[in-house]
Amino acid sequence: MKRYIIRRLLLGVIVVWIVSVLIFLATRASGDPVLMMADPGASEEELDVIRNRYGLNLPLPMQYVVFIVNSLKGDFGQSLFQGTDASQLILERIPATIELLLAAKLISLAIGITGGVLAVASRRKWIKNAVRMFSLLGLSMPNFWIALLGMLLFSVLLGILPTSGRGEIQHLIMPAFALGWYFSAGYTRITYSALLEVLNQEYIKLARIKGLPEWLVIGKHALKNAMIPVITLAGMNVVIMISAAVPIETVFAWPGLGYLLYTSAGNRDFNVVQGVVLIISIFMVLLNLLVDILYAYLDPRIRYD
Amino acid sequence: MIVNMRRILQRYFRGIPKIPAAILVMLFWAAIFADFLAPHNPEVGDPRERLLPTVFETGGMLKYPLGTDTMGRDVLSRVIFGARVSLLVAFSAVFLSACIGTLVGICAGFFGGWIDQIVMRFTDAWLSIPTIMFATLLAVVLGPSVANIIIIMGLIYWTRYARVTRGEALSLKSREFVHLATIAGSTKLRIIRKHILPNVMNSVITLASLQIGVVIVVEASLTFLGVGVPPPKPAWGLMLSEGRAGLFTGQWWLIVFPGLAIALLVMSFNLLGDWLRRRLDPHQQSLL
Repeated sequence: MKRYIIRRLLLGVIVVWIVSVLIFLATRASGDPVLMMADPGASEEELDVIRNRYGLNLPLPMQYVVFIVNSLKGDFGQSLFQGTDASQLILERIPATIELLLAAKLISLAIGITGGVLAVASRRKWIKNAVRMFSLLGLSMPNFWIALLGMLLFSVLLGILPTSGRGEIQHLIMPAFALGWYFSAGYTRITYSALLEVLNQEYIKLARIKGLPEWLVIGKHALKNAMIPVITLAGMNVVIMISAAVPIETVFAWPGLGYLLYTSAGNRDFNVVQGVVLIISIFMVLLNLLVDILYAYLDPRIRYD
Repeated sequence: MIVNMRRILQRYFRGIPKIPAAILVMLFWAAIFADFLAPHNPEVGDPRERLLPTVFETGGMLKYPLGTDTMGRDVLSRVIFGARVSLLVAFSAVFLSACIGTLVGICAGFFGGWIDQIVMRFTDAWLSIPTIMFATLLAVVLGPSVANIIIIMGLIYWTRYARVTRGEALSLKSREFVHLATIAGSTKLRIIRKHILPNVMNSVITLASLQIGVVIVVEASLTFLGVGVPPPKPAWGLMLSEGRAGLFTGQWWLIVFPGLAIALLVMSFNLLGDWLRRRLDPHQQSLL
């Protein structure tokens, strides 16, 4: 157990290192990033100041060292458009993104699990087909289009939900749903197949022989065990959800990291973009690591090799 | 001759979902013959005929069946040409990522050892990086263009192919026929080309067919965010971002039609990909 965790931690460190190298290389892909780090009208002296600060006149491997040291200090440079520190801008936006992700996660789990249970439990074919169709739509429509259609229907035509802003629960409903729909399809699929598998087992037969009503058999005995793969998937797709949140935050002007990324990319505000990507990626590696170790604790059958 | 054709069709396309296949054929048709099908130039509009509604509403003109946008460009023509951009980007990106991933995966599985270790850690790292964010960073650095968006997505989506082909190469390596080929004096390169590659192709094709829908949506998202296909090209994601303002001023057609095109295309690919997977691997069953 201890050896597994140590090994996993070491691998985690290597992955963090690879991530940082990839992002570093991406930021240098155009050759000279100083032109992106400085104001468009900066003089040659000003450019030199920035070159010195970020070590851009050094050879590439040394530049990487400077990049890492600065990143560890949380120094991604100044935002070119806001004038404040990029890292501070980023920190301010984190709570809104977490709020949106949690809400979307809850909605998608609720819809997904309900769909899976309905598809298994109902004997009517049209219910199964409806669940299938709903999942397929979620998988096929771009989430920002769902968001735009939602705005058209609920904000413009019906006037019951706001189109932007944050604070009230009404502000959260549409973004969370538009973001969650896609992911609910995956949960439906997994719930469905896991439930079918669990329902074949002996203890379910026993529960049925005992005379329990079907909704109790599925809702209580079967669902509990069928939830394990669902929760695994829910943990695994957090990183995809963060990506998918970018267009959603943009459509609703939701003041999170995705919207910050969008506005910064539009302004070519290189320092902020680089900071957001680096922080989120490192955070994701650590989260995966934590989940893996947690699993090792929860499920001792996990291989320790 | 005709009988033979029918037999071949039946053999290869048994159980193909008909409506998605028809939609796909239609969109491919639109993409290939856009120059003849589109009634107007997709990139140049008539400023005097801005924001005309669809032909079904009052004020609409038969000339512009799906209305016009803020620059007086025909929405129908842009949707038709959009199919070309979308399919071109998606297929190129999927092809690129499949090539990279398959090459890397086969090398990792076949050679093993430290190569395998490095590749696996690299795929771990890629899976922790949020794709749209990383693509945005690359696009900010490289500048948005059609070629860049293809390269960026090709670089991002290779990991799945690498994982799958690695696993298969690993198991193929210890099979009889590979041993025999080694004994017969085949070089490693020849074994990979003649014995490993043909045997992983089924999985690669299945994976690619399921991946293409994702790639189309991500391309549309990046374009919508302003870091994908640059204006004035007729890309669906671009039409949606330009038409956003129309939401509040009543121009619903600017956001409904391009989005519908994306959704139909992706849905068809998803259903056909699922059909293909069931054809190539009949043991799997699932709800979708």
